This record gives sequence, structure tokens and C-alpha cells, in this order.
Amino acid sequence: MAEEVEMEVEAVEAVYGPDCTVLCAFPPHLSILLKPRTADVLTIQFVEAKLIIKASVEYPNKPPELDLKDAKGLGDTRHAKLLETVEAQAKEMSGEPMLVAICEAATDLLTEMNVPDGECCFCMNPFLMEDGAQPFMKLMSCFHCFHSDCFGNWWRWLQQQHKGSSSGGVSAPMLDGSDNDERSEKGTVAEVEDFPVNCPVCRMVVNAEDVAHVLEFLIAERSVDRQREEDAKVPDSVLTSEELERRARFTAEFEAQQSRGAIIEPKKLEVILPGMIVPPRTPVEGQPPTLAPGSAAESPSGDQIPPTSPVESPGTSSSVSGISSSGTERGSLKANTHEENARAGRGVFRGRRGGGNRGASHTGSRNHHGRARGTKDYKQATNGPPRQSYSSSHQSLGIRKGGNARRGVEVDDM
Amino acid sequence: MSATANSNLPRRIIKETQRLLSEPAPGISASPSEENLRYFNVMILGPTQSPYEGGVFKLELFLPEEYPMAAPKVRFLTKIYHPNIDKLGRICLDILKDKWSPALQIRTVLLSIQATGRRNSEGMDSIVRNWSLNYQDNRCEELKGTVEMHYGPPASAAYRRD
Repeated sequence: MAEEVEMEVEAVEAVYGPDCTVLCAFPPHLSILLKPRTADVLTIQFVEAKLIIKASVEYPNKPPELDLKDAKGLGDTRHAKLLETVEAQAKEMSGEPMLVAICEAATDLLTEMNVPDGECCFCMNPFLMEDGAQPFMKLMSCFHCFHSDCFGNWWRWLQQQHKGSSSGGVSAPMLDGSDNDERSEKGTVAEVEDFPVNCPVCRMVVNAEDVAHVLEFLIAERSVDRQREEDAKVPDSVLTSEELERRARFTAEFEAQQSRGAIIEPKKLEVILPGMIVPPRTPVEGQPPTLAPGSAAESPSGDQIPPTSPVESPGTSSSVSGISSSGTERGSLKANTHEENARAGRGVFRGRRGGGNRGASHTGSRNHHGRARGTKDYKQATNGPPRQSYSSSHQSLGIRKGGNARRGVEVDDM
Repeated sequence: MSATANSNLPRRIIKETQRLLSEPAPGISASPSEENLRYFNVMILGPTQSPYEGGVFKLELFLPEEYPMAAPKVRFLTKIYHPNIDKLGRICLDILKDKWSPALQIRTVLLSIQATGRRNSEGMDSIVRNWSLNYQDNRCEELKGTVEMHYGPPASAAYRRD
């Protein structure tokens, strides 16, 4: 019995030659690289797989275990179908020699499947379309396929990026100059080797051999912008009622989060550093430009710049102050409304001690007083108007914590 | 600008948009802005069995002119305490940078971002190293407070500093 099986293994070896590896003659354990019958021209071979046959001593009465390894170009669905087919074949032929038959069945199916799977990853169009397919190509070692135009565009785009970065300042027009033609063509060939390109699908490094069959095409066309031709109008189908509902939900969620202060505020452009003189703020509507006499009485120290502040800004001291390093020790946290952001964006920033409490005159920050924490990060300080920590100095301005803060507006605007 | 951006929309973007809308990935929804179809409003639910479970995170996603050659630009709008996301909502994720591939799509990018919620304990990278160097206890406490305020107390070690 064992002799018969060994002879069968020899037959498989004879049929598949170097594609067949015998790991063990008895019980048979083989690995056979299977290709479509039409695979003489490698550039149009789109699938292949290794069939692993592992039989027990009871073979052929008990069908061998079958598995596929290193399958290329098949995709999950076709991979499963191929394995299913060979397993069914093995079961059917249980009791008689079947090794060659299994391999032949797999090869038949692979021949049928010898077309690229799915769609081009660049344009997401299928390779095989009823109305005239676009030409496609494959990478020789990983079998991933792309439309030639799509791959070419990407290739040239990468080359441009690479040249752009490696030539360090030499502009693209120079490289495109007519007298450079010859050199850049050679360059493309060379760059296949020294400029790393990875397969977009599996990230395998693309070698010169992988694209040798399409290299002429890749070099021939220079313009990256061909995809513009296929730019299309947006179909109305995008804007369905469902979509409008979705948008409403988005807005609602955003607003809800915003009201909770859960949204990251936009970054401020201006960074305020110690010693910087900040220009006067334009008067805000509804706030008196000068201090009302009554409020002045309430805040006798409102105009003074504390001794800890090293910077004075003559002439504008009533509305502007530099920020001392000590002033920022208490720092400030982020504003939590856009209203405050907008004000901060005007570039008015007042030191906590030096500037009184202008920042506190806006709504939205009340509930955070207790959370004001020290930080020496000036950038943070610019994230919003100073979040006052209502320490004793402020109380001396007649402002108490909590609901009374509005009065600070009057006190402040002098 | 938005008008030109829309009239020049490559087919792939339209295709992706249609697929995103018709068969959305679980826990992820993305919707193009009306003015600019390259700008997407995104909502991601915190992955289950992660400290972010139950959270709703808003993001913005923009497809640059070079897309799909170049990666989309994505940023968190909702504050989040995560080792790979900085305080401006910028995400440190390889596929958004040097590991971008044109075979990736809006959907796969968003799925990857969602998945970062699961692996954040190992995902220490440059941002968070920087972060832990630059920020002292109070800063982290504050961030932790923010997260707790919006999403309840942390379920696991994800919000812990050490």
C-alpha cells in the first residue's frame, strides 16, 4: 500500500516539477504551487496559491488535510471557494488515489479565476466593467492590481514629491526642462531601486522587477493631473433626507458638547510674553468708555499697577498692562465660550494683577473660578482672557465671588 | 473656494462619501459639509470595553487637494484624554503621516482612530512623552477632571498618569 502511495507522490512530482515540494513521501506531505493554466505570460497571471496536502497513514481511505498558503490575488471569497472545492473533491474520491486529481481541480478553478479581484484601490472602480474596462497592471511579486493610469499618476506624484524634497530648493520647472529628458528617464529607472515605493495595498517594497513591464508607461506620461478629466459633479443622491437628519444630529451633539465646555477651542495666533506691551482694546459696545464716578469710589486701587509688574505702558496704563512673570503665576485657563475667544483674539490680554478684571466681565467663565490653576505656560494663557482667580486683590476692587462679577464691568471700564 | 472644491471633486471622493452614508461603519458616522464636500463632520463612539465606552467624540476630517495621494487631515474637536492625542485634538497615528497609503480610505482611517481607544496603554509615542515632560501634575489632573466631567469617572487605568 505504502509503495503505491509513494508512486503516486512521484507522479505528482513529475507533473508539477519544481513547483512541487515533497516534505515527506509517506505518509504524503506535499506543497504544490498552483497557477492558472494560462499563466505562461507572467504579467497576465493574476492568481496563484500553494496547496498543502498532508495525508495520514490511512490515505487514501481517509482524505488528506488540505490547506492553502501564500495565496495571491484571490481575496477572501475566492480563497474560501478554492479551498472548499478541493476539499469536496478529496471527499468524493475517498478510497482511490487522488493527489493529482486534487491538484488538477484546483488548477482548473484558478484558471477560471485568473482575473484581478475587486476594485482598483486608487479610484475604487472595479477592474472588470461591462462598458469597456480601463487597462490595468499588476505588481509582479505581490500580485496586487491597479489601473495603469491610477498607478502611473501615483508613481509620478511620488517621484515629484521625492525630487521636490531631495533636490532641496531646485524647483520643479527645472527638472521638467527639455534638456533634462534623458537624464530624468534614467533617473526613473534608478529611482526604482533607491527610492522606496511600497505597494499601496500590502506595503511590500516595490522592486524594479515588479514594475519592469510597465516602466515605459510610467516614464512616458509626465502629467500627474490626468485624474482631473474624470472629476465629476456631485450627485444629488448624497443629500438625502437621512443625511440631513444626520447633520442635524451632528449639530445638536456639537452644541451640547460646546455648552459643557467639551470642545477644544481654536488655537490663538498671538502669544503673549512677559514684557510685551499690548495695544489698547477697542471699547466694547454697551460699556462706558470711562469709569463712572460711583464705581471709582468703589475701586480706589483700580488704576494702579501693582509693584510686582515690571512693565508700565505710559499713556495707556488705564486699559493696558504688561504681564509680569508673577502675574502669570496664577495664569489662566482656557475660555469656554466663543464669545470669549473672540475677545481674546483681539490681542487684549491683561495681567491678572496689573489689568484688573476686564477678563472677568464676560459671561461664561463663572463656574470655573475654583478650577483656576497655576501654570507658567504663556501659550495657555493666551487661550482666552485671563481667568481670574478671585484673590484678595480682586476683592479689594469691590468684586466678590459669584454673582456679583457683573459689577466688575463697571469697575473695570475706566 | 468651496465652490471650486466641490465642482472639482474626484469620483473617488464621491464614491467614498456615498458608501460612508449608505453603509456606515458601526460606531462611526461621517457627513460631508454642504459648503465643502472635502470637509467631513465626524462622530465616533468610544469603543466598547474601553475607558472611552459611552463617550461621543466629534472630529473634523478634511481631504486635501492631493487626496488620495496624501492623507486626510483629521482632528478631534471634543476634548479627550489620550496619550496619542494632544490638547489641540491632533492625533499621532502613523497612517495619517508616513504610513499613509492611497489604498486607505476615510472609513479605514476613522476605524483606526476609533481603535486607538483600545490600545492607548501601549501607544505611548512622541506626543505623550513630550506631554508628560512638559506638563506637571496639575495639568494632568485638570485634563482628567475634564474627561470625568463629560464622560464620567474613568473605568480603567487609561486616565492614570503612571
